[in-house]
Amino acid sequence: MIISNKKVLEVVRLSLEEYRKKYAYGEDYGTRYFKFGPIADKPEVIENRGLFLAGDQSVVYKIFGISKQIVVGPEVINYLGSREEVARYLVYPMKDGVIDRGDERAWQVLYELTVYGFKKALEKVGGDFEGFYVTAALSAIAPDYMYEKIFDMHVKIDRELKAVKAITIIPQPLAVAIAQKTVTCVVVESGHGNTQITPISMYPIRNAVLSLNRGGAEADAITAEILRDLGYEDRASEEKFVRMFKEAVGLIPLDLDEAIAKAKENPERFRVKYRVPGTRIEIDMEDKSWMRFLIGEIIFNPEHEIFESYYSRGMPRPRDTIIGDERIRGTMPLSEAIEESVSKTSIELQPSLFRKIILSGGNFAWKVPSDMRDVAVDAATKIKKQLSDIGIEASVELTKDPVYSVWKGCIVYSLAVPDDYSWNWERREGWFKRGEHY
Amino acid sequence: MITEAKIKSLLKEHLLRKEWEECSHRLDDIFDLVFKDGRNIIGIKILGIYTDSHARLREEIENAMLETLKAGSGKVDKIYIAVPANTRLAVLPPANKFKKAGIGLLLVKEDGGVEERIIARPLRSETLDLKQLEELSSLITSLKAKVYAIEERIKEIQPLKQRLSLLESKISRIDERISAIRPRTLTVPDTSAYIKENVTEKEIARISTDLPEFARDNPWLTVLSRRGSEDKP
Repeated sequence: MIISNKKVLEVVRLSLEEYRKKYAYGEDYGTRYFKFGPIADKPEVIENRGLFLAGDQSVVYKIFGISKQIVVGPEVINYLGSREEVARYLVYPMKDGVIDRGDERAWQVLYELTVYGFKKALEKVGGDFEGFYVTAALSAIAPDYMYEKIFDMHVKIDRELKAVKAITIIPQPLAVAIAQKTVTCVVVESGHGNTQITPISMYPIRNAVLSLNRGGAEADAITAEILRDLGYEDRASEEKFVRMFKEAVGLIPLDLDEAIAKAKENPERFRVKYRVPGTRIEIDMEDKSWMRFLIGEIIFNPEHEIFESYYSRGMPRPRDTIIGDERIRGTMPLSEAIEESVSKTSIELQPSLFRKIILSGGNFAWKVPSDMRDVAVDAATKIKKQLSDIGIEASVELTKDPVYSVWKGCIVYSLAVPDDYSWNWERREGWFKRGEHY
Repeated sequence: MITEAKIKSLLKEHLLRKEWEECSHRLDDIFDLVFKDGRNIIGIKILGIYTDSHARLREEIENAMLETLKAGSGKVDKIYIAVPANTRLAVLPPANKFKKAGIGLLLVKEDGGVEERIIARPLRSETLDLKQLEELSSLITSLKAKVYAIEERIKEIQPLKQRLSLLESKISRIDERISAIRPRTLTVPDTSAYIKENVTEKEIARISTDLPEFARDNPWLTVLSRRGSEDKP
């Protein structure tokens, strides 16, 4: 298709008009954190959770003039009471990026979080404000009803606060690619319970998206087993402790067998002592420090034979994914999963996709001690090696800004997509606009 | 004849190789070996063959099964009886007795090989605590959402197939028309009508200088600005 210079510039100017440069707004609905805000260098961040002020306490709160039903944001801490209350009234709406359609409490919390964000942003708008151009990002596997609910939520907010001129929703991997300024790539997004592989070439290639039912939770599970082997059975049941220990001692091996051999030959070199924060308790891994490499390896290759004894002890094996009549092994090595995903795209595109693989999500953020660079690597190096072992030369990098990249991608999307590009359910793109859709 | 002491030594070596941990446990007077395999505490009672009487041997083994169950109940998770591998199986209590009691049977060879002839069952039943129930519940919720998404996607496919077939026939008609008119057109390259990427990119760079760094020099500004216009003539 032939497009003139003049036409492109006209379109770009319309998109980058002054109004959008002030009132582009991004929302990243992550499983643990909600990142939000108008165009800036970085977003605001609050925990993706809400506390219901219900039950016996609601009368007490009314006496003190507190009339709200749900508390979100930094204020939540002030209302947390006993552990039983926390279990009953504190709601984390998202599980692996998805909310059940019928989970009313979760949707209420998400609504309050969204309102919280807009109220903060509305404090700083100018006299020319007519509503934000909002781009929200959801997990790549979010179903259509989540899109519908988010649109409905923003319509309601606009009716109350006049805060939303137009809203659109994009998948998080697309937002990552936009933030990385890469038009053709594969985004591998790995969170607590889920890893998604999304090839992108100007658009996400939807029928090539591959989802694995594993993530940071697997690293937590092997860490718990290691704590048990070290004699800390009681600590192994504390989720938060397990995560802290994992992040402090876990390592990704370039080659697991070689790393274990080196660590067993020279245990002092890899020995680590973890001091439990706020206490004098110290966990010394002594000659079992080779187990540090299991924590990193399980994310990339849970099929390694060393994990069989842990699975037979009862450690959960990642579940298979079934899409149509295709079964994807839950334990499939990550390199094989990337190859499988890319193989569903056109042959001409595949070399370009392998030239740019972007890793995103907290599950890929691992430290490499400077004195262990001969055995321990970062996630990008690990995947590059794994792909090389199966005959694929690829270029792999971590997102430059793992915490904020999705939100940044949302802002760029809000800036650039033309105003007259309306929402289309087949393409799952476009603006859902005041005055047109509601 | 392999002695009980030898069986103990061979069994201990075998279990340590499997990276099980030996426990110093107060039940040593009932069990000859107590090990931990990560989650479970396992008590092992060793019996050598010191009598020719089959009936007596069977009685000894059955008594050992009862004693270990009584003593180990609530204290160990699994119980094994270990005998020499050359013990005639006909002499042992029937397998279903072991299975009913939940006790496992190990056969130890003189060369150190150990066969788990009957697998022990956990004695302590597991109950799910509230946290596990909550995890199960959230897993089910997530699965339900995924199943729903798949069902919705399947529903979408039917009308799309019909549209696809319609579009295919349209394309084929357009193709025929183009083939008919192509010989009559002159193709003169009009360089001014093509996108000159350098100029466009410079303009975008100029427009975007007052944006945050992640938006500046971002090729997606151009790509996204064309959304919708690809379909227009």
